[in-house]
Amino acid sequence: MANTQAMCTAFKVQILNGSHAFGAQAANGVRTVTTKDDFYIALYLVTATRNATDTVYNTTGELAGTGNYTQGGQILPNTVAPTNDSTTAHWTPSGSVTWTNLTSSGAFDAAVIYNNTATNKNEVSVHTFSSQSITSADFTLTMPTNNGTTGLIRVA
Amino acid sequence: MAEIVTQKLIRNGWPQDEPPQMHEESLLEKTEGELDDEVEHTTWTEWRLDGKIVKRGAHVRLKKNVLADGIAAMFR
Repeated sequence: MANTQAMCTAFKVQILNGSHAFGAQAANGVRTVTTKDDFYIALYLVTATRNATDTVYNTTGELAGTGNYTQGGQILPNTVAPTNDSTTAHWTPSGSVTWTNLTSSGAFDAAVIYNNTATNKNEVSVHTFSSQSITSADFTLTMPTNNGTTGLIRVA
Repeated sequence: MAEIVTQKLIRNGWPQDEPPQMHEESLLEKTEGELDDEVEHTTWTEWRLDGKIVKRGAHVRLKKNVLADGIAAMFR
């Protein structure tokens, strides 16, 4: 039982089906998407098993809704639309997320991004890090630099 | 006058379930740590009372991303 960093396979299929909008595309010329989707990020215990086979958000293995954590997590700031560096397209949330005065229900080592606008809350990706236990303090997750090398989600 | 730090402990098993308490900051031992590798740059601060963690915060800066390797097959 472990969490594994991954872009979800089902999400890759959904990209090809045009199921996710990380940015509005009014001037795109391919398809008009005037409203981008809301993407959320949730925290998962070290005992969870989140990986590429995930399809939709669920609370299995998520931090309990105690200690100032609300299951479902937080909305990701998204003011920067997907773009590309050379041949690599990329998207990264436009800011950090902080859980204030958090007391985690256990040690956690993964964050899951999912599309909260989608009917089934389809999962996008799993991001792992060192095990953390938080007691009566803030937990901040800062995103990598948004470029073709380090952007959080990349299509090369 | 020493600052009073509010503690709220609702954790399961670690350090121990205790009701909220007030601790004089001067009684707390503060330690800071750091992890920097290819996945993340993480810093944390812990406060201990009698060797037991009563407050712990962390800041994880992600480095590692997920990649979909786009492939356009050739016609043969």
